[in-house]
Amino acid sequence: MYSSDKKLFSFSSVLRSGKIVNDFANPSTVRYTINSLLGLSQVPSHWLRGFDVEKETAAFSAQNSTNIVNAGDQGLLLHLLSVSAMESDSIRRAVLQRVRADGEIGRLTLQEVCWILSGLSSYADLTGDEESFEAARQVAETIEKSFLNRDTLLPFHQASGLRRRFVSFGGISYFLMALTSYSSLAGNEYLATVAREATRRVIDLQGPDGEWAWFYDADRGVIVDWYEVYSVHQLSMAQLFLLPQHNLGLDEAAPAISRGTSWALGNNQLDERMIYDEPFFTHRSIRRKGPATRARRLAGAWIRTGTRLGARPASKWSLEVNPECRSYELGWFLYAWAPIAELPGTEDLLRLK
Amino acid sequence: MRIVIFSAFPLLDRHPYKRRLLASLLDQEYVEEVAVVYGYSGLLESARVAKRLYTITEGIRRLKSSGGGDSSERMNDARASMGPELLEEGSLSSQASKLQTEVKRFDRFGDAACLKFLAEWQPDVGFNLSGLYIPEAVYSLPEKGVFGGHFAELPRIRGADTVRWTVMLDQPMIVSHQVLSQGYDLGDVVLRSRVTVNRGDTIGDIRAKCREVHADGCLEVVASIQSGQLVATPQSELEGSHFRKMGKHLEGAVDRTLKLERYSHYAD
Repeated sequence: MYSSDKKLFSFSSVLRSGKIVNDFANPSTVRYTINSLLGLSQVPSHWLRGFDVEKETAAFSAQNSTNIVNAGDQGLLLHLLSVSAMESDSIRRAVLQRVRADGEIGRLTLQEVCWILSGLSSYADLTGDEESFEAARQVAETIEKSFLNRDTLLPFHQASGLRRRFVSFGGISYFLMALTSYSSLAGNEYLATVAREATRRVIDLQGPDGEWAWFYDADRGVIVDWYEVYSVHQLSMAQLFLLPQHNLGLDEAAPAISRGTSWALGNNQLDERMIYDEPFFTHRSIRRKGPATRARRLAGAWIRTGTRLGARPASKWSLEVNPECRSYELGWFLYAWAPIAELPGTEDLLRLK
Repeated sequence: MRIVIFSAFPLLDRHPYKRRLLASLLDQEYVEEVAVVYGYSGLLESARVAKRLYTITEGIRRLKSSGGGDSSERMNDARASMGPELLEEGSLSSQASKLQTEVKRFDRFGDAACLKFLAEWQPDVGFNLSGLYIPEAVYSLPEKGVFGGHFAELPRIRGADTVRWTVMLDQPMIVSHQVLSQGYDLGDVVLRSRVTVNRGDTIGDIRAKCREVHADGCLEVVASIQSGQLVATPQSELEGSHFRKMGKHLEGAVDRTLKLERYSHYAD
C-alpha cells in the first residue's frame, strides 16, 4: 500500500490473485497518507519491519505540507506532527491563519473543523502554546454554537446548507473525538458533559448486530440510512471516541466496542468476516446491491425525512460485501488500537493486532 | 442603608419570594429605604425580550410559575412566615405600593432616565432579582455594589440552566451570591447557601426553593454589610465552566433522574 518513491499510501487497494493492487491517482491519497502515518506513529517500532515512520513522516511533510490546501487535512497533519512530537511550525501557522480568517471556520464541514480542533488541541497539549490553545478554544466554541443540535446532541454536517442536518457516522466520530480531547485539555466540564452524553446518545442508536449506521438526521436524532455499514467505523472510528470515553469511566463504552468489533469478525447480516491477517486486509463495507451513489442515498434520506419514516435494516438478500480496502482504514485501526493492551470483549481483535 | 431592588416585566412579576424579601428588608431597623426599579416595563419591550429568551412553551411555563403557584414544602414554610397581607397573591409592584415603597419603571436598566433616578436616589446596595443583564453603568452606582443570586455553585457551574446542570452533574444544589461585575458570572462570591432538595421534587420545585434561598441570602448579605463582616472571594476565570442552555434530550434525562429519585443529594 506504500510507495517509497511517492512517499504516499494508496487511495484504494484490492486483492487480486492473493496480491494487493494499489491506486495512487485519487486526490484523497494525501489525506489517506496522513491517516496511515498517524496510525503507524502509534505502534512500537519493532512492529514496522524496518519502516522508519518518523523519517517517512518528515519526508512526506517536507514534500507535501505547502501543497495541502484543505483545512481539514492541515488540521490532521498538525495532529500527526504533534502526536509524533515533530517540527510543525509551518502547518501550525497555516492552521492559525484559517482560524483567524473571518467566518472561515463556520464555512467548513464538520469533519474539517473537527480535525482542526484535534490538531490545535494536540499541539497545545504538546507545547503549551497559548496561541494554539486560544485558537482551539475559539474553534470549540464555534462547533458548540454552530455545529451542535443541543436538542438531539447530534452534530450537523455543516453550519448551513442543504445537507446541514444529515451527518454521517464519520462526522459524528470526529466530532466526539475532538470534543472529548479538547474538553479534557481545557478542563471544560460543560463540553466534557456534552461529549459524554452525546456518546451515550450515539450508543443508543447502535444496531442489533453492533453495526453503526451510516447516515443520521441531526434535527430529529434518528437514523435515515443504515448503509453502507463500513468496517472502518466498526473496527476503528467508533473507538476514536469510545476508547477515550471508556478511559474516562463511561460504563456503556466497552460493551459498545465489543458489539461493534464483533460485527467485523463475522457477526453481521451476511455472516462474513470483514478483517483478515494474512495479508492484513479489511473489506470496506456491507452495502446494498446495485448503484448506490451518494446522491441516491441523500435523496433517500430526504424522502424519509419528509415522510418522517425511520430507516430500517435491509434484507440480507439485497446486501453484498464491498471487497475494496483503503489505506486510511488501516491507519485509523492502528491509531485506535495500538495503545490498547486489553479490553474485555475484544480479545479476538487484539490477537490480530 | 438605602437598597434598590432591580426587577423586570412588572405585569408578570408575581413571585412570592420577591414580596417576602421586600417586606423583610423594610422590617430591618438599619434599612432606611427601599426602591423597586423595573426594566423592560413596556409591553412591547417585554415581548421583544421574552421572544429572544424563551420558546413559546417555555414562555407559557414561566408565565405559570410567575403566578405564585409553587407548591413545595419550603415555599409553604416561607408563606407561613409572611404576614397575612403578604399571603394575598399579587405583584411585587402592588406589594411595594401597599408598603409605600417607591416603584420606578423604565424600558431598560441602562436608560438615561434610569441612571438619573439612581444617581439622585443614591442607593448603598442593589439586588438583582430581574434574571436579566444589568449594565455596568447601573451596577457601579450603589456604593457597596449590586448582588445577584446564581442558582448553582460558583465558580464551578456558570451560565444558563444551572439548576438542571447541577442535577445532571449530580452535585449539591447551591445558591451563590455574587457581586455583579463585567464578566458573566465572574463576580466576587459573597455567600454560598445549600438548597434542600427532597425526594419527589421536580425542576420547578427546586427552582422555587432556590428563589427562597436567594431571598434569604439577600437578607444575610445586607446583615453582613451592616455588621462589616461581608467577605468577597474573587473567582478565577480559569476555574469552572460556562454552561449553555440545555437541549431537550438532556432536559428529559434530568427530569427522569428526578422522577426516578436518582439524584444523590436528597435531604430526606
